[in-house]
Amino acid sequence: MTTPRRALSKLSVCALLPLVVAACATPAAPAPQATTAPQQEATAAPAEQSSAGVELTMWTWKVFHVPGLEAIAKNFEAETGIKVKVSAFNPDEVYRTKITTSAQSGDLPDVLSYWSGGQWELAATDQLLELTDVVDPDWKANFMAGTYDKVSVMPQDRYDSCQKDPKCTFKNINVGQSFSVPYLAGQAFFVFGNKELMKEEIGNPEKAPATAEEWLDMMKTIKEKTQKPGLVTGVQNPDVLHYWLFNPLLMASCGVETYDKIYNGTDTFSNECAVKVLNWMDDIAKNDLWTPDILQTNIDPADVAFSQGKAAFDIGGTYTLGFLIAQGMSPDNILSFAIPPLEGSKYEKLEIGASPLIDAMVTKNSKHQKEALEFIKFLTTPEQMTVFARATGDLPAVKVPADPDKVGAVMVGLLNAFSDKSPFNDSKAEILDAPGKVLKVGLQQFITKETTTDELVKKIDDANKAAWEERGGPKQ
Amino acid sequence: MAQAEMRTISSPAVRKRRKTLLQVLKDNSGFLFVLPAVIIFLVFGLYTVIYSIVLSFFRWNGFGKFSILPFACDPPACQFAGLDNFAQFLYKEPTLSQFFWQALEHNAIMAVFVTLGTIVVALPLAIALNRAARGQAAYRIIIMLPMVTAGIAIYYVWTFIYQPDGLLNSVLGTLGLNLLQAKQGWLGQADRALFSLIIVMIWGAVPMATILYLAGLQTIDRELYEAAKMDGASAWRLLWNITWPLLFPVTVVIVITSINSVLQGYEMVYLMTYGGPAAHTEVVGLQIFKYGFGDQRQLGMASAMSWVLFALVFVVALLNMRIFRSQTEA
Repeated sequence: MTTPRRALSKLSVCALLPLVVAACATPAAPAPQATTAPQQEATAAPAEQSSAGVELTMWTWKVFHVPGLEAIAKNFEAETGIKVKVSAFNPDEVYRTKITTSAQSGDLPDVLSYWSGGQWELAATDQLLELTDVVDPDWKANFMAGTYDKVSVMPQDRYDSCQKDPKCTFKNINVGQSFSVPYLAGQAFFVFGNKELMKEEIGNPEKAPATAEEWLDMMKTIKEKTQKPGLVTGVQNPDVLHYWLFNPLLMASCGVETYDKIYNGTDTFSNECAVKVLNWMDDIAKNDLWTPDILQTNIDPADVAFSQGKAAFDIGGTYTLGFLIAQGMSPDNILSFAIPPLEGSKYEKLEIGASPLIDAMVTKNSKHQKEALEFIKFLTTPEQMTVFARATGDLPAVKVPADPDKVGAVMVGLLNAFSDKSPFNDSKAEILDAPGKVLKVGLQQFITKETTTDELVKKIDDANKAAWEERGGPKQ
Repeated sequence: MAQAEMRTISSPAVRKRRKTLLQVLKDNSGFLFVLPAVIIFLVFGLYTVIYSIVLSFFRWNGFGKFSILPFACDPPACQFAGLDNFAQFLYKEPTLSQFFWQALEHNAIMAVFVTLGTIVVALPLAIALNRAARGQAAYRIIIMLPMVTAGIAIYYVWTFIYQPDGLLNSVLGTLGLNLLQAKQGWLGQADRALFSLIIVMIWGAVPMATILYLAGLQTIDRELYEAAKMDGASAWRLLWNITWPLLFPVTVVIVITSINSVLQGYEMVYLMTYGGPAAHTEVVGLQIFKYGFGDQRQLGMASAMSWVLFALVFVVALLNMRIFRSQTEA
């Protein structure tokens, strides 16, 4: 006789079955991978099929890049007959989650956009097509200095550092391997001045300050005469003070060798060249030169505030000028210059180089790897990146002609500001998470007046020392 | 012998006694009704919980293979870390642990003040509403508005109120209370940001607490008040000796839900301050979000932190229930 207890047991088994099924439904295995050389892999797999009627998919998280990428896709279709569908998912966290889940289920697009330097984790899990031998000298020649060669190819120092770090998740990537190509670049070491405010209060609106001290004096004068704050930028984002202001000043003050040593743990932040920078940043807060709600101001609101004349200077990047003009600010009212070094700095003028921001890569689960590879090659040609620059106002990682008719006057100004000799191109500094966080919070604490330079130096040095010790010692 | 037994078992008489499958299902139809919910719970609830517990012992960036059944963890993207994820933020890594304990401290301050503030505001409101002779429904709608308005809109409105030239500073200026103004904005000053967030949290929690108290008040027998009044009890005595004790079970619910939501929530902090200024409003939930979905991609660490937070919430809820039960019994 079947008792209710037995019936219940049967039902329980039925109920548990889906759980087991769900548990067993492990991530779909990636498409079968060839173990042959990358170039052969890229060309051999799709050789059996025709490209006609192929539709590629490409993902990005920058919505405003979509028109530029679609324009290139249209040109690509006209030339090859291959369609490319571009989709954007934002904000950043959503995009990251989308990629994580798609990587697990084998549903990544054919072409993926990802943060430059972040591709190693994807590559290490066999999600990306290797491009090491695919990017030939002609293709490499397209990229601006300090982009492909610096971030898209695994450098020796990054490899060594990863091998020492127990938490590193891409230990299986070797020196010289490459899985992506950059298509967007930028740099954030620019200052924008409001010429009207500068003209009325300090006379010559065309004269950029030669030193950081001179710049500080300008801010003080404007503040005294107009009560307008001297400086605004997106301080609510903790990275901004660190990467946009502290790092360029530190690089100029210490020079690339000492800069690298400080971050890599063989020198300390108590080095005089670093202390000078911290003191200068503290001086901005001590003189109340920031806009009042600076700690609640993010990047875009900061640019909006500057465009409305609420501050004399704004710190931004290659992407800022276009935004300011879009906000209705006249280009004639903007003076742009690189962050000026402190007096007595190692470099009298900081050369600014392009830094790669977004890379394009072909995924291994793509059924059309050959076509996808063809597309990223097409995407990173100077002609197509000119189209992109024109459509988006953003700076490509590819050398585009500095011709105002082709890329617009604003872009020409940016291109001319770059130098191939930026010390950042030679830097091998590795900024670890823990000391980075202490530094970011500490720089904000100057504004809240909760810390001094001496206290902050001690905290960062302790954090940096502990972090490098955990990795087996400083990076040599 | 064995054959004889088998014959006996399968004889028509026995078969008659046997229930058909349909009969069994009919007899246990209750289980069938709950089956969909059980399946959903097992797949989307229990499995994910177990997955998260296991994940907290691994270092995983989310890209490589990691699964429980069958077990898969392919290095180097996935590595067994044992208790290291927990140790890292609890004590081992000085910077991480400092930020974790600081965030937990903020959570604790929020939990205490939001819970107290909610009760202090909601109870008088509910009593007033209960006494309102007319327009009770209209008042209820007004009080419920913060609950039905989209969170993101509320947070942005409050952000504008808290700006240096926002409504709050303007009102204080008009009243001649310039000393109380926050020159860098209420969310931008280290000494005020956390309490400014607490006020928004209280504002958001009061409607539900008021409705719960109002429901509780309407179950109290009016004769108790009338009898006490005849004995000469003051309004304060009525509140302290009748209303408060009889609303105690409602208060327990409010305390537990309030503490839980404050300890686990992070959305408001994410939208209004992102943990700033200088990490003064950082909470554990936001740290978990940053580890799990930020550029660090340490899903094991995020899971470990989630479980520590869960353990804390669980212990606090148990303590609450124990304390309140002993008081109710007394």
